[in-house]
Amino acid sequence: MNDQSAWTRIVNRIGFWGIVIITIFALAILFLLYPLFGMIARSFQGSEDRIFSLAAYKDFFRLPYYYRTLKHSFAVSSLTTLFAVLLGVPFGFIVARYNIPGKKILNAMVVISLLSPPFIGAYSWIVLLGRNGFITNLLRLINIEIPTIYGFRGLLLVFTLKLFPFVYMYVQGALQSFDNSLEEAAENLGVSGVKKLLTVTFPLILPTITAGAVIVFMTSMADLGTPLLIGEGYKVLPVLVYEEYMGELGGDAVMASAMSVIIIICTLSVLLLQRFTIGRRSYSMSGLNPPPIKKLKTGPFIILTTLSYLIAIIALSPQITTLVTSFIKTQGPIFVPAFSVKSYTDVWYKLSANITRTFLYSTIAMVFMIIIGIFTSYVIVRRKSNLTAVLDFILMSPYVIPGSVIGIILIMAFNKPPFMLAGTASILIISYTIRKIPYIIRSSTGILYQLDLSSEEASINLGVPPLKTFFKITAVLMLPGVISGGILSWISTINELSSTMILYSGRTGTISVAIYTEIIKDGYGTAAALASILTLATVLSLFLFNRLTKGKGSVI
Amino acid sequence: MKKVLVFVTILTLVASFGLFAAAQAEAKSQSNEVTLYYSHSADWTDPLIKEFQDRTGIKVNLVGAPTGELVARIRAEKDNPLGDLLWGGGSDSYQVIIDLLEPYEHAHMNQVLAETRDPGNRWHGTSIDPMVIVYNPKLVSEKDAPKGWGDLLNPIFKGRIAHADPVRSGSAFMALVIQLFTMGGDNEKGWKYMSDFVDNLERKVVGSSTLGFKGPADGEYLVGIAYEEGALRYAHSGANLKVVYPVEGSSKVPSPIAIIKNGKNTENAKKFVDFILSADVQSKLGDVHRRAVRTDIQLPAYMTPNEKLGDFYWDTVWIGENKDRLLNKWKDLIIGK
Repeated sequence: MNDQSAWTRIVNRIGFWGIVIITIFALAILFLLYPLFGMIARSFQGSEDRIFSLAAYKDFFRLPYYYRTLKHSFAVSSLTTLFAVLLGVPFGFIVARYNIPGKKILNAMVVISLLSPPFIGAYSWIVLLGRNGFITNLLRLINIEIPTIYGFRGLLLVFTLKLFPFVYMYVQGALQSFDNSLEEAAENLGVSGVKKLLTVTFPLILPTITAGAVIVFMTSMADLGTPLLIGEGYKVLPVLVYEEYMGELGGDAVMASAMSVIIIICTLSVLLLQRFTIGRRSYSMSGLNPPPIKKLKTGPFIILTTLSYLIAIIALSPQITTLVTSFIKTQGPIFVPAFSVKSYTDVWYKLSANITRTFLYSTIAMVFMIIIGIFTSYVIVRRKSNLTAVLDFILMSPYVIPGSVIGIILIMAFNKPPFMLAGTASILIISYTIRKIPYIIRSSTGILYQLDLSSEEASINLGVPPLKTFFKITAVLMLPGVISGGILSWISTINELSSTMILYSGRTGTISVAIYTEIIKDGYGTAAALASILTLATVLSLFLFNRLTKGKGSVI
Repeated sequence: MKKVLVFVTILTLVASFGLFAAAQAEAKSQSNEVTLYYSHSADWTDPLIKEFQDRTGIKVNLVGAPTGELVARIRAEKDNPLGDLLWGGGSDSYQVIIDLLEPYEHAHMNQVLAETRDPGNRWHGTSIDPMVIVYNPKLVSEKDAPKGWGDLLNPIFKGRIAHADPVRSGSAFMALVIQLFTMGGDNEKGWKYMSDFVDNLERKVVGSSTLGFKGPADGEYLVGIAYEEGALRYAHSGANLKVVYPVEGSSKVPSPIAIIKNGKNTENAKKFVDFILSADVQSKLGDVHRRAVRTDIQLPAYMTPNEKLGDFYWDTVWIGENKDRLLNKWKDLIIGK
């Protein structure tokens, strides 16, 4: 009796939100900090049970076998970023500012290509331009040998086409909220044409462009599936981490850990560099006075329209390719010119469980994300304190950790008692939730900041207790926004490969893993069928997302 | 406040229940499934797996990856095995995890070649897998064509040899051992050859063993080291590829299947082993360029007979015991330590 009252007193003192904060902290420490610091500690382990050693890092920067991959990663990511900006900025500018017809269709095409996993791009470019590719073989008929797309060139091609939509979407967003009075002022001062663009418009949207560029850089640096499929001899850092971890010798866990730390440092520095230089000069504009959409003359109109659709079609070509090839008959690795649904019946007998699982796991993860998103964003925004600021910081950290590294830190932390989670669905769901948490928190806090306090205050003034107000008013108002954020996370979760590849087991394989396995085993038809199923699920969920946000939601 | 407590408790319960329900869902219905770790290519194994499913009603869960990765998985999962069967690669890969394999006397013990059997019955050869050299006859003239392992040091092939990484690929490791022993042995002479060979590779290996034959066939590499099945499959389908049985010799490496100890579906795994070694299945191997292991089945006429594959004996136990050392030596050569 006495105990119980003491317990109640403690609970009363901490309060409901105190308990929420403690719970979230506990979850973050168990599933994120503990595995992460475990890896960092491991990277400093010496060979003969020495407690602290820099041997792995020294080896990394001494031996070309290792440091070469870092150079490769930087080369691929920087050039990808450059090309993505060169493609995304003009494309975004043209579509935003001129009377290009069917903007919604163009945007939908770009969004679909953006949301599908990069390795499907790699796979379909192999189908088109690879050693036995359609286009390669067509060109061979007229005796033209195209250079190999495996290695550096392929990585650049796949990443650029896959990631320029980020820049495109950011530029569009920035131009839509652009305040035209600035351009008008420039014109009044006698600055116009290209000069106005370069001295007024672009400097104003530069922070946004660089924000998009950083995402391109980080995504291309972290991706594992694409370089595994198309990189071949040109090894990048995530591939080496994967090999070091997955080698038959049991791998070199210390080296794999050290290399993971090095990748995280790279992505983190790029992010911070952007935040503290150009990102700082971010200009907030109201969007109340957007510039008018200019009408083009017939000539430029035709050229720019064609060009825009061409870019969108090329961006979407992986989806088109997989859809078409999924209905082509295959003989082992070779497509033969005949229609067939055999790829789909093969999927049915062999991999139907993968499809069910993918949707099940992603949906459970989405429910977690929504619950955590609502509660965490509330304590971060409405219960500001140093503690919640720390919580915010911790939960943002997965943003800079590549998926494969999240997979490795989770399996290393939870493959022994008391946390025997290896090979279970739980560990996949945990990984998905961790990977998407930063995005969910960003979108949920954004919603909460926009939410007017007056309805909450009115409710409290009318005598409704704060907690009841939260559940009856705040949570209800937040829910649509958070759910639409959840749907976006759901889409990227069904497409997730990097961490799944490390965490899956025979009974927990997902669609993306099955596609990857089929590709490396030459089962190109089944891979195409599965990829098409993924695309279909993505398109349907996007449709739902648009309905929920009434077409106003942004996917990035 | 009590309400709050109840709510938080319920929330936590629901959350953990979600996780456990998902975990439980996997654990259920074990009796009619089996989890297969395999490194063979899908086009000839898929029909066999499908037939097994149709005949027995046992659902086969597939984990496909290079042999090295599968072995790494089995080692990592030794306290809680998640797979039931390992299929593919060379017998040495099985030797390194021999304590994690379940002995089984399958239904056809008396019908298989002695050299494809493990004395302790922990792995069972399902085919014989020699390693061969391939070259692209459009790019390499008859005169320059490699005849054996020694010719791979020819400077005209420098940087244009497709060879997978022995650390990841089971067949690439077979090639490493065969090269080492037919070119001098596990001594200074043999390793001098390996070091020169790595130099001629320009320290670059390809991502997967299938590139050993695909790379040269597509003209991206001049020569390659490949497992016989892939090389013959490509050569017979009209690719630009010639297959060479090295003059120094190859080896009769058994490519096994094994049951993983303490797996969740051991009974079904046994059925799968019996199925793969049955006369039915073994008699189909010739059509897919594989050498059957049953004594009652003749090799197809197009295949070089087993006796002509060289004298180098694939000593599984010794190779398995020394595998870590050999691979570390190789890795040092590639890394340039």
